[in-house]
Amino acid sequence: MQSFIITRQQTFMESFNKKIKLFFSTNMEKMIFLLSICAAFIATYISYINHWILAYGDAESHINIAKKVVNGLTPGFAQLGGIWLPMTHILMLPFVIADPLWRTGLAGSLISGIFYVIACIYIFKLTRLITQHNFASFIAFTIFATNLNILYLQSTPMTEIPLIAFFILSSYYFVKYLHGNHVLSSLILAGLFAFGASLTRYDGWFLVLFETLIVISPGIFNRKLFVRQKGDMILFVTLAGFGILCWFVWGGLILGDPLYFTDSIYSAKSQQLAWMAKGELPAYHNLLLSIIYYVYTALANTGFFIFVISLVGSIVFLASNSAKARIGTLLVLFVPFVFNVVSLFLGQAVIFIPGLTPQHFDYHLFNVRYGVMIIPFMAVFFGYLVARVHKSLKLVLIMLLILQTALFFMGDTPVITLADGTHGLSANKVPTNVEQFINEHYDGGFVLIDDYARTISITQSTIPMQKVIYVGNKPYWDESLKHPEKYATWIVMQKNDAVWSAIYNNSKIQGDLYKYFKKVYTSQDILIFKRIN
Amino acid sequence: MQSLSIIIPTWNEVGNIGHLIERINNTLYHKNISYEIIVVDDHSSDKTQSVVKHFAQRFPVRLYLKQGIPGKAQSLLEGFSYAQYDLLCMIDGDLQYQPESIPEMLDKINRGADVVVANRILSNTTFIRNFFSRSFLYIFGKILHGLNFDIQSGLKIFKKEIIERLHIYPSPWTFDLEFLKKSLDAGYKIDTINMRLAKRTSGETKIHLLKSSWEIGINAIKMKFQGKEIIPFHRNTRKVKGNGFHYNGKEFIHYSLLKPAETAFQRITFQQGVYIIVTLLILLTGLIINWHTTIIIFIAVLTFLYFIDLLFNLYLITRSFVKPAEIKVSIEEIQAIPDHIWPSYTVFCPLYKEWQVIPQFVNSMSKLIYPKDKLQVMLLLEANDKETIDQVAKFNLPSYFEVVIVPHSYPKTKPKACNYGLTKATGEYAVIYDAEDAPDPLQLKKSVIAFAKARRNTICVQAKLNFYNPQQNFLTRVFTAEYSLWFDLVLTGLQSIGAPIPLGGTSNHFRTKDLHKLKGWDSFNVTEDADLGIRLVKEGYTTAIVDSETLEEANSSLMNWFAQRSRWIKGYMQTYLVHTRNLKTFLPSNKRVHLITFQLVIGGKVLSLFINPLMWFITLTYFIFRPFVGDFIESFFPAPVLYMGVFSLVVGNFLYLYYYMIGCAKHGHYDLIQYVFLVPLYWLTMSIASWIALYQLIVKPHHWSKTKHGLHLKLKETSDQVKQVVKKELATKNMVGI
Repeated sequence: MQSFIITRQQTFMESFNKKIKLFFSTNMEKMIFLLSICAAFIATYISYINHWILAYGDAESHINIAKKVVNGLTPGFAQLGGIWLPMTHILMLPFVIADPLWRTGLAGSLISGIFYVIACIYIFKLTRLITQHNFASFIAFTIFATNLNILYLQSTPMTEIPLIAFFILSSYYFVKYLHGNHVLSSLILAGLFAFGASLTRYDGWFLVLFETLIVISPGIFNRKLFVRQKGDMILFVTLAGFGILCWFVWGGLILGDPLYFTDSIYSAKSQQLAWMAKGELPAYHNLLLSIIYYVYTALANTGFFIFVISLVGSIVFLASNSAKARIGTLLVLFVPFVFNVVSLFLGQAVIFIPGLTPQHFDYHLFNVRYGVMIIPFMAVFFGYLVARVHKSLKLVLIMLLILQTALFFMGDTPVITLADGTHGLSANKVPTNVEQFINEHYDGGFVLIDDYARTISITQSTIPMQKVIYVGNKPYWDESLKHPEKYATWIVMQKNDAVWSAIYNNSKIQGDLYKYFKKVYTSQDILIFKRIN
Repeated sequence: MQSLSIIIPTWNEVGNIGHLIERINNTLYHKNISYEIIVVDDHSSDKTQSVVKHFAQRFPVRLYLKQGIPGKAQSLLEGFSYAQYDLLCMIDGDLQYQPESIPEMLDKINRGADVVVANRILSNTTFIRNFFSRSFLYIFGKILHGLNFDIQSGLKIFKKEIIERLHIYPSPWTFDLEFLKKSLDAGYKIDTINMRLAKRTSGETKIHLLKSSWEIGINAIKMKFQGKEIIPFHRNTRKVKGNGFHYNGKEFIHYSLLKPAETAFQRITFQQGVYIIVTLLILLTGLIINWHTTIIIFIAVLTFLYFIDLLFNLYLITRSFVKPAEIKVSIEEIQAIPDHIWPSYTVFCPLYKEWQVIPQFVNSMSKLIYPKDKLQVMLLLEANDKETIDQVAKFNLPSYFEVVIVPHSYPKTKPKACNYGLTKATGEYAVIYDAEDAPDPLQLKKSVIAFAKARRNTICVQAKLNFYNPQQNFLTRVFTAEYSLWFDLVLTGLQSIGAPIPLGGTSNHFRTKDLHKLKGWDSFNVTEDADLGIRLVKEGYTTAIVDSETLEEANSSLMNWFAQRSRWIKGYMQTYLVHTRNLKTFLPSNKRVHLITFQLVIGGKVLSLFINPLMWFITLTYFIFRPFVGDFIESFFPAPVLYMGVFSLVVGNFLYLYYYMIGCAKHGHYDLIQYVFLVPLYWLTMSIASWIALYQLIVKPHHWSKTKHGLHLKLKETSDQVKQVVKKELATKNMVGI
């Protein structure tokens, strides 16, 4: 009788287990969808109440660009400019129309949040594509979704999360193509999302390049495949590279220089030249240091345990004979690493990170968010290792994952991207009494301001974007710098910014300034003038 | 012996009618001509009826009282309806016309005339009447209608079928002009004799000279402006010649039950003409009142249409991937069916001056894996193509081939030949192949199975077309890319949404009974299959695409390509105009949405060819001469229009180009993908072809610009490439014994 009861209990448990497994396997993507939405919502709420959404100066600039397209003094797509790639700005357009979404930065959070959810789902799908293992794929999703640096960035208007999403989407379809599944549609979709990536951040250009090279490479090594691979390559690169071509054309037609994004005084290259002049571009033309800088930054973003385990996972993957399209898969997921190392090496980017940046440098925390770009790689190969190892080792890996996550959540490992936004060089203008003064005294009229110099935070002031005259409002800006009285009621200038240089430092125009305006605010760096009625 | 029904309209002719009957009898009796006299009396107040009744006792005379409205014309029409014989004679009852002329007139009929008119020689009339009569003849007969004989003559003999065929709507005195004019338009031959008009000896003339002249004159002018009428064949002619009609005296035999109004015979209807003129007038008025705003609106409308077309095409291409609609047929499915089960199949192959490709065609047909005893391969040759007929006679054609000579007639088109072939088709299923086609050997079997697998309302199975000589030159490469896009992406996309599919020129399979139900092809449409594709959707049917391919010869000569492409575009224009005559015809079959897809697929495709050069010109001018014309051009593009336009320009052109690449890749033409970058040049040539097409639509709408085939045979290199593609020799002369 007892054995009968035990048998019945076992049968019941087996059936229950089966049902649970079936439920999870069939509803996994839905679960991930819901979980990632919850995570995005909570993280954004925390950022919102702590005023972290626009903690980065760039975050405000991104959302302001979108706002200027729809609500600026001279609205239109030309406001997208030619330095930052336009994808996220365009996607924000419908949301920034609402002033509260613009001023709080939530318009950007929405976009990043949506891309975060997409990235979560596709990290899962990509890992499953490679491992055919639901649980391991769920672990990969967990690594990505619970990374606090990712969670923070997805609550901001920054462009890293949209890029990661495009990158993962493209990689997923690209790997599908490499596996020979739905070859044509997969290749087109890989190209389409690479196109998206190429218009989101310049990292995307490397993705296009790498995927193109991976497509053609079988044809180079095997002449019989050449025609086919060449066709595939053209098909891919025509779509994937179309965004890049458009960006050159945009620069040429709208801004007068196809290479405006790199030649302009506002470009990253120009910024890095300033660092170089100060001797604070350590990785420039130093490959080893470039690698060290990026590895160190990646490690700081992912956590030690995850970083090391993922690295092992990637080596096991490469060594595995059963894995399909190993080199191609690895290479495509490795693109962010290559891009960032090359950028550091060429002096196109700079990272300052405590522990590595020399003490005598002015700043020790800057651009560390670049490290998050490697998290998808880490997540996928952590998942791969989980899929490959024995049950007992699986448990160890999971324990280490939990430990790493706990360290982040308990604050023992700093959320370095947030730190950069709150007190690093990337930090936005902290509201001072300048904004307070404007909020108390601004009573309408145009405000002439060098927006690029971030003299004040426009989102945190009460000035409507339509009333701001900045460098992008060409006729108004140029004329105002010569005749400040022509349009402006207010002039806000910061020491050595464009307005200061053109008006305050020019004795002739300074005369006009004092003729038509009176100084209403003075601080060490900032002066505010108001027009005399 | 000839038999004649003589109709005499009378009104108070008591003094003449008896003599007339006697003179008729005397004349005809001696000439051994049987006759009947039908007197239609218009309620005479004298003894006319009594006299007629009296004579009816001695002669074959019947008296009828007029039923309808007063006037001679109505009396004649009623009289014709009582006639028993196939020849009719009308003669006035006033004895001014000499019945002794009738034998001479009959003689003319025997010599081939269909209508004989007795021209009056006026000697006993007043100068005024004579002047009026001659002037009338000259102005209203000769100048206005080109009728160089005595229209108003009261003595005429003609075949009864003419009156049965024509629809005549005369006023009391206007029968003659309308009758003669329409007889000429209906292709009848009119002859004349001269006859001296006698002086009236009894009774009074019924004609009020001025009043009747006015009536006849007005009617002549009205007829001139009413335009020509399409006059269908008489039932007896139909039995002999097939379905057809006359227009402006010219005979057209189209062998289809389609009414002329359902065909592309007429370019535009009156209503369409009014719409076009009104639209142009509105545009012109707008330009006069405020040219700048009018141009802005014009550009905005065009831009919007472009934008919609762009989205629609994107949707179609996506659908073709997401929901591939083509029917797949496996080898196992084919092998499961024993030979005796397969239905009989008719293959139409219209040939015109291209006998050189016959060996290739015979080869292709022989390669078809289908029970040959179930095959009827019909070579449709034109009677006037003596060279092909002679060459074919030399060939030792397989037993399942049948040579059918299509009698010489207009229009000279492929669909006309196919309609003729359809009347002789014995197969349960039917398909058209061009002579240079190399179909998939299993295509017939696949199509039969596809019909079984398709939805119930599937009436046509279209095989995909592609080319076997893509590598011949630049033109064939891009042409192949275009075909790959059309058949591998667009058509499958259209099928997936059940939209009207403009069928390709060949390899569309039907159940023969369905083809009859659809009344065959429109012989006047130079893209008859596109028309058929739309027509069948309007009837509530659909087309399915089967996963089978027919390889054709890509046009390798630019001039030949222009001829072919301008014909296709002209055909699309014809199709668009035919199916927009009555837009309500789209409605009953629950296909309302396809009214829009039809506009986009046919109308949009053609319109864009005309508009593209204008848009490219504006864009190029803007960027090249920006300092001079930049502001001016910008003033026509308000922000929403500008953004929509720029999006269409950049994304639209890119996508269209990219679709070609996808088409190539999907079809496996990887070696052609790189040539797609040159497609914009091809688009330019297409736009040129569209203007040629428009010119041809106006000047020679039914002209079939023949595409020369067999150009690939001249080049050994191309022949070798073809062999590689088709995996067989296309042309083996030995096969046909030459």
